[in-house]
Amino acid sequence: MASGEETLVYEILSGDVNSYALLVKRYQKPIYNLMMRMTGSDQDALDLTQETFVRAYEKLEKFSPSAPFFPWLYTMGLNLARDFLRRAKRSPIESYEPDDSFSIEIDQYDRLADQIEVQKVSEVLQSLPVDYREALLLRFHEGFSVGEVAYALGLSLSAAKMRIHRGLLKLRQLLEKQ
Amino acid sequence: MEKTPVNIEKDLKRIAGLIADIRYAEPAEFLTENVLANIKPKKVTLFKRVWRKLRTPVSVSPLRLLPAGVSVLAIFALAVTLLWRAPGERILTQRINEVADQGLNTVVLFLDRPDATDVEVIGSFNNWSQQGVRMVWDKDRRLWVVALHLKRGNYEYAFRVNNREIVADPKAILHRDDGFGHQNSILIIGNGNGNETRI
Repeated sequence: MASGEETLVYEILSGDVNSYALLVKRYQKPIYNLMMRMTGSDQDALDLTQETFVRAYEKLEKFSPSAPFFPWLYTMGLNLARDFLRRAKRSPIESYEPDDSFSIEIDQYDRLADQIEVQKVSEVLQSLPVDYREALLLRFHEGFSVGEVAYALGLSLSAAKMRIHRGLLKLRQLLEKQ
Repeated sequence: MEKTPVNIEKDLKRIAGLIADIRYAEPAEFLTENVLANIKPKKVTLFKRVWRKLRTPVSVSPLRLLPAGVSVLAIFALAVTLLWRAPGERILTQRINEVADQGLNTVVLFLDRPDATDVEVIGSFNNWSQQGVRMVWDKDRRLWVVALHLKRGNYEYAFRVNNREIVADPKAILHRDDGFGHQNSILIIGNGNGNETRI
């Protein structure tokens, strides 16, 4: 668990709303980006992010403060996004390009190739099935342990390992085709 | 490049590194405020409060005890100082107890502007009236101080320094743009249990 989060959770459970503001500020960015990947709509993403945090707050009594908070929150967000898409009878979107994902400064030619590759990976990642995509992002972008990926996605440890490895292989295959 | 298992592993590691470098978009600034506006402080019984406190993990080491010891001494010194304060300040304590009985919460705001000659706090608690609440210069602490007695709710406020300069509270965590080039600070008051809350 990130530093001090266990204490923060205890403070929130003791009635301190302001401690929750710190958790919202800490995790709003990855949750908002999860929602953008799922819906492709800024407004829907904001609404769902807000709903995720409100729902998590309401259910905080059921959360064990000694467990990592973010995987628990992520699971809740992912389930809310899936419910939203089911209600709207929509599939997760297949392409989403963040507005600010590709800004290049003219004097940074050295990094140009890297940025192009990152951009390409970001685009191809979006075409992977949600379960693979999220497993890869949780493991390599959020820095989750395999155990935390398993917890967040409701998988066994070996299934999570397999999901990550296969996800990488699929991604590599798709990148080669480009 | 030849597709040997070693090369494939290298590729996968490189792709993992690229995933780590993906840039995330920033959510709108008002997101935290919206979340906070939609939640209520949790009501806890005294028993639960004590039980959770006891279960809150505390790691103890000699180095950790040192600041704790210093803090205890400081609190003791402060308590002695407060007890020996002028009667006027004891009246303030009585007043805080009185307003707590009326369901109001006491919030104490500070501003570190020793250069100022006059400071007021203005805000939504009195509909941004031109007539702000005057802050008092505490020469011992070298801070401008004011105690507000407010009902539970969310408020925006700012300091007016020397009757012209509007400044946000540098100690507040949340701010909102007022649309006129200034930042207002956000104050969220809890459940009327006498706790002071400022973010």
